[in-house]
Amino acid sequence: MFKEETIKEIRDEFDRWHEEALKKAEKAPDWQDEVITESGIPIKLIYTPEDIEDFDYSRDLNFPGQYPFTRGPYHTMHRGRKWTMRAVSGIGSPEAERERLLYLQEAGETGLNVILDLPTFRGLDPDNPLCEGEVGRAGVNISSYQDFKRMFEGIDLSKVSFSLVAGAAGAAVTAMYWLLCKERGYDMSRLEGSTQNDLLKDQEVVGCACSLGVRGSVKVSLDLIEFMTANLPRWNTVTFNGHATRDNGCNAVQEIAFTLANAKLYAQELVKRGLHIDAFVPRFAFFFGVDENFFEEIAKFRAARRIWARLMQEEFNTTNPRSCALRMAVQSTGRIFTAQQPYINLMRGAFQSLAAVLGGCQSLNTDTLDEALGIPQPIASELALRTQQIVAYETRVTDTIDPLAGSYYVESLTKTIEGRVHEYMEKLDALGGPLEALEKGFFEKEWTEASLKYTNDVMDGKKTRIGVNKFVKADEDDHEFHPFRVPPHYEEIQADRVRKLRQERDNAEYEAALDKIRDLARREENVIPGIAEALEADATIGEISDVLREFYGAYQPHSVR
Amino acid sequence: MEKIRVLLAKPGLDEHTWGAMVVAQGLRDEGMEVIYLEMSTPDQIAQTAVQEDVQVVGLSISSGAHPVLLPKIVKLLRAKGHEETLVIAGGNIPKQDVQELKEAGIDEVFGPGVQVKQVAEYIRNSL
Repeated sequence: MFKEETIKEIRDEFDRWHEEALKKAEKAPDWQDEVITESGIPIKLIYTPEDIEDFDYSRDLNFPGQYPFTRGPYHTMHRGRKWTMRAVSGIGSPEAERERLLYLQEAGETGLNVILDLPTFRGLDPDNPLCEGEVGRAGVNISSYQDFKRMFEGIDLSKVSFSLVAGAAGAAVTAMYWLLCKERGYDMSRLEGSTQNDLLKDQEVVGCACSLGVRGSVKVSLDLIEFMTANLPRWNTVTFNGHATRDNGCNAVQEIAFTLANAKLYAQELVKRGLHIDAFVPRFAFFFGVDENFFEEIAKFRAARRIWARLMQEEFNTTNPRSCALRMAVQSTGRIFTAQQPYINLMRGAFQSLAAVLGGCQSLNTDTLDEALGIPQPIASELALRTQQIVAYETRVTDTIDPLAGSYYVESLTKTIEGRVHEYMEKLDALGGPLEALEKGFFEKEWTEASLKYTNDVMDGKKTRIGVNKFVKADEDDHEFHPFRVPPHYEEIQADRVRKLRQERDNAEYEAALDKIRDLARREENVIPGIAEALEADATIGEISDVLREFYGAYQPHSVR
Repeated sequence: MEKIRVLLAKPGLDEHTWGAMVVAQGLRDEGMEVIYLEMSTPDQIAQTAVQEDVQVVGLSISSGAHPVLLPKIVKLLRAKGHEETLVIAGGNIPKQDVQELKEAGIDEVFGPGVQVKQVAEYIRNSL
């Protein structure tokens, strides 16, 4: 991109300038000799054309909507259509969640997000003694198709995209969505949404709520992808979960590497099942965190797009251009949000949101100021949405696409991240792929090391965390923000409902439906249609999960380490 | 001198293991013996505490289920005759809930941002 003589001139001048700068640094109070990002990338004092000497616009960037999609998956990006603005929600009973969804739509959310509670994630019914104290606390409790219908009464699902986070219960809850939309006579080919469905990541992450065994989880999520590819063609059949990776301690490079490696495995498995790559990969989506290092995050998003595009074309020989376009949902990493001085989390959320937008996200979820205290209370969610709205409508950053392209720093960082991600992916390949690596203990080791280092850095003061190790307030009365309390009565409501359901349903029909799932599982066929039928016969999440566990094992938690 | 034995458990369905893992590692670094248990019921926790003959039970919980589960664990432990076992808790338990938990028998609740060294010191001073 630059003439050789120009680079030499710049380098010579840089050498002179750098010497001067280092002298001045001796008296500079905040000077640090070495600056290294969390993912281990050393950051220079300044970046120049020399740092992107062999940068080639057409090869490395090209235009948005065109291979390798570095600048974005769509031609007009945010100037044509703003990212979907979502607010985290999942609370109590179906009715409580419904109320919250309506409130959030009023506040400007343009896409629904529903997070299920821990009992649902774990495939347990609300009246199970294991769920005592947990029902509806960390998400909404949906234990039957009837519950799902209650949650969406009066909400037109054909007009809004729906993002579902339910772990292994995603199969059943997605089936509920499909049943309800069919019942309501919607045009199924136009429905938009996504289900997280990255059950392999859930198993890899030290810190995710799982229900089934490892390989069984992968099988069920592949079944769901296949089912949705055929029946909900505009849905994202899986959102490969980088956010969980990040939020539980890993760095930016690990986040991208582990996530794309899973996506690659899933693609391979679906091809093995006889599907054509171009038939399903355009509906793969990705879910990344956006953390505190502003430029590293932006470079990370751009690198992810380029890596994926090249991977799809070179390793999978895709011919559909959409197969190479990585689309991402992004959410704040809550790990940087503090319980101390919670109002300052508003600024953290704001900068994260700006980075996500500059990085070209398709949807965004900004964490709330009470992230470290409990599930979001309405005003906190409203402020999170307002944060996104300020970025969208006041900052003018969406006037043009990928504004940081060409920055010596950002392009250099994008390239460096790409290289390091490749190294990690090669490591995983050498181990036999992410599934083998998981079973060999690879991820547990990576997680433990990364998260311990991160926490120790904060505890030692090496990593600044305002409110925790810098600008600490001994007395925080004026920052008092009362955490939201989920009322305890939802547990009884949901437990009573599920007991009543079991009494009132046609038990012969219900038993037959469960047997149908067993049949499909035994024959190694797709279990989703069986799950849908069982839901119509009023089988509960717990009952369906029990059947799945018969064939796919139960989740083995980490014990003595 | 015999090592202090700690059972570090995550009660209920909570999956937030990061903090517990850091504390487990930190206490080991402080010379204590730590047994770590995830996704455990109050019964399992009390049982394991007795079986492993621990002096300390540390409960890490961020699911919001602490008002129900923590008092239950204390009750079960005491019912098994373990009056002297120190029971401490941590996670994202709101400040407003601490008093009630202490009244239910939790010896100390550690908030976010606490250094593991402080937890170790508290344990040593309390035993």
